[in-house]
Amino acid sequence: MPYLHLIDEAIGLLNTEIRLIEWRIKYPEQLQQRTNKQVLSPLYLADKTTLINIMEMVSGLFLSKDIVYQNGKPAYLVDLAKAFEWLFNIRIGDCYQNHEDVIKRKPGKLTEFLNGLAELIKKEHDKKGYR
Amino acid sequence: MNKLLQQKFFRLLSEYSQRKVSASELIEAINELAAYVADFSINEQDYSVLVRYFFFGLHRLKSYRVRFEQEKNALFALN
Repeated sequence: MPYLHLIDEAIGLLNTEIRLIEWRIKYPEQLQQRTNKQVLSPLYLADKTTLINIMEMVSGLFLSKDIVYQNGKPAYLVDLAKAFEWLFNIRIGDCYQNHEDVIKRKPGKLTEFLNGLAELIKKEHDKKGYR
Repeated sequence: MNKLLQQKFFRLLSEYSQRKVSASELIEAINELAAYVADFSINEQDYSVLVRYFFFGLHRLKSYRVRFEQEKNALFALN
């Protein structure tokens, strides 16, 4: 067997994994952070998309109470904002202030982004000939 | 435990007496093994399962090593 060094390499590999488990037991906090680390979302906002556009969706979903926790209670604004932050790799910051910024806009601009989305769906509906 | 033994590296070692295994095959199999054990370690939260699993693989590898080393020494002695 000319490849004993390769078996040694595999032995080293398993020894390392066993040592890692020992470290996870000895230093749970340091290694816990790694295991809890969230996977990054692959999605980002296009250049033309602004934070207030996203906040329109967050505010709408918050007010609708259509997004709930496992116990059926409606989601808090802060949790909805955090979810969108993760989804699009953005920082919404003070979600209450941003929510207020959405609500206080002039009627003509109030739901500009959501209206745009609705319009796109309607156009696609018509284009495909649905009635 | 069987899943570990079904990894290509272990399969190649078990087949070694029947056919010639190339170094490149083993190197590729080590890379696969490294990815597999890392993945298993991340996904299995029960440390006792992990330790048993990896020690099982480790001892199997050590016994292969002893066997192949003995064969190598026997070949040297014959020559």
